Amino acid sequence: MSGTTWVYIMLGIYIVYCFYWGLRGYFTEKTSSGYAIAGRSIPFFAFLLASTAASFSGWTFVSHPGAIYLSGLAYAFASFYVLTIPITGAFFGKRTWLMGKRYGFVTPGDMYAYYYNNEAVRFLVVATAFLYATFYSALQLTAAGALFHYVTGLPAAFGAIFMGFIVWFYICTGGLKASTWVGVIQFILLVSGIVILGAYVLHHFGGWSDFAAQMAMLEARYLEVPAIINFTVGQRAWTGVMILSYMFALMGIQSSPAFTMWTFGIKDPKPLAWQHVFMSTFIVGFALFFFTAFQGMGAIMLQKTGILEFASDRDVVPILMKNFLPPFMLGVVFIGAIAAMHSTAAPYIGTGGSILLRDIWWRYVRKQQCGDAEQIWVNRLFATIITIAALWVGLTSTAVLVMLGGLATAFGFVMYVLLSGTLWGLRWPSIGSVLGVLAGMVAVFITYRVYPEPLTIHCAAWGTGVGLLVAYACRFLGFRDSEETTQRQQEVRAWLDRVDAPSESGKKWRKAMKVLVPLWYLFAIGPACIIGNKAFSFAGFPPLWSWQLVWWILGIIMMWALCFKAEMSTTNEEQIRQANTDTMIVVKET
Amino acid sequence: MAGQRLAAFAKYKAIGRKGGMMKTEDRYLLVVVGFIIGWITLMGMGVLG
Repeated sequence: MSGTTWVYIMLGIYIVYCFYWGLRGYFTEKTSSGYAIAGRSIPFFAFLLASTAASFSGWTFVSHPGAIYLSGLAYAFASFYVLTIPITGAFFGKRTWLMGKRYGFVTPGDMYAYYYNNEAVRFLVVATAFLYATFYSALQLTAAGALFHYVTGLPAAFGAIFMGFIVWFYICTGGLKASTWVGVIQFILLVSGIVILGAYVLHHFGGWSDFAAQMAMLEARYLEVPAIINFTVGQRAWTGVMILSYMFALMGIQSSPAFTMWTFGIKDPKPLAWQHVFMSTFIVGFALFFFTAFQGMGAIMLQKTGILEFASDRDVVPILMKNFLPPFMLGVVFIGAIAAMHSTAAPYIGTGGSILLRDIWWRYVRKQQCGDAEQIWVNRLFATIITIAALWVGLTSTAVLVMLGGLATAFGFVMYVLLSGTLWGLRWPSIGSVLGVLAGMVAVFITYRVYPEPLTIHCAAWGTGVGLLVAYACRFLGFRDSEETTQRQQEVRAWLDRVDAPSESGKKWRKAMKVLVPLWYLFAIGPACIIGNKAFSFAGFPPLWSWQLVWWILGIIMMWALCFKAEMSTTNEEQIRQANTDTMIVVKET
Repeated sequence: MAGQRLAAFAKYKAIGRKGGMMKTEDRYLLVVVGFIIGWITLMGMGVLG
């Protein structure tokens, strides 16, 4: 059978699986919270795999090897997002879940608006969620359409609409639970696809020894970080500070409204630490640090030796797939790529619809007076609108799409202002939170579009830096909160500090981690990573790749210490019992 | 002092034999780090070609 036939067979099996979970949810989910946040019952195993798949989008699968092909090992530092994405979960995940349980929050807007006693924050979060969901999903669906075109020869627009239909169907019918259970298989397909394609590329070179020997002959620009910082505006270069600040942007994925809402949906926080340390940092890390790098670096050498011709970085993965994979494997890897794209688009579209429903329709249009059935159907309507908007943007505005897709994660990182205030008690007045987020968003836009990346620092770092500065400035300028707001925040702080207090051992680990985590950032992905250009080499890996591997291993140990030993992501039966019984519901569900 | 150290060491050895002190995540970490180092070593030895 031909590769295209296997693609259709795999696609058929995949569609049956997706539709099964969608229809199952359709017949079982009868409440609004059951549909929107899976009734706060997402089990350990499902969250472990699905949230990992959602964190690493189709962009990881298709664009990451392409970007390594363009910029070499300096860009391969981006693989460290296997750690920097979940570290956001380590900072905020458990406390987000605790807040959802105690106060009954359904959307992130509920949580921020309650804590700051301020509805403007809710609207900022709704705007962020809508834009994030639309543009990030648009990127995924158009990428899926392009891949469909490469492999089957059918028009890319048809492919995008077809892929959009699949994801729309299982979200609209089954809600968040369906999206999560489909995410389980998507994770397996995503990682398998990356590993298989990387392995076949390596095999083409005759194995690692020959691959390494050819790589050693590449020019220095593919094997080294060019500088610590460039004093420029508008010129992208993978300097040490760009690598660091780009990692900040990707930290925005798990601080986005969609992930906050997903965390409300889990049964308990037990999967968090395992997701952060082993599923993300180790398993996805293993795929990226070896097999994605084989694809990207392999593509450079294939181009240089004239074996393959890549018109642009976007062609790298599709061309490698078509040239190196046997028919059956082409089907498997194709579904892996589609799964990667769907795994990201689905939760963003689903939670985007739920946020619009709860924060706008239910709260303001229906004045908190509509039942479960109406909420579910309006939620489906909003999810449909977001899917159509994503497809429309994706198919009509390619140039704008690339820009806005890039902005999405930076906007997600700006949510650090609200999360760090609400969950860890960084203090600024309510008005500071609103102006901080607004100023952060403006700063992101200016440093992305008007004066791009000043000092080779990514717009995400500028945005959140400005956001925190403005929030604190409001405090020092003397803005004060009302008595009601102050009391509300004191009650939240007292409860969180009581129920989430670390043990004596945990306190010692946290103290150590306050030094070790910044040190890891400095050397692994910060300005000091330039030392790796010539530091050491082993097993045929060039010095910079060896440096990345050593700091990845140290990063796994750091995440283990942070999540388990410092108790940032662990829980116990007593904490879960308190969260379940010590409730103070402030948000009506129907 | 020396007696205390000896007692502590004996206790440590006893725990080590029972394997009681290591939590699941600690064992997983050792396996994961061991796997990566083993994988890189095998690559260096030319097992992957």
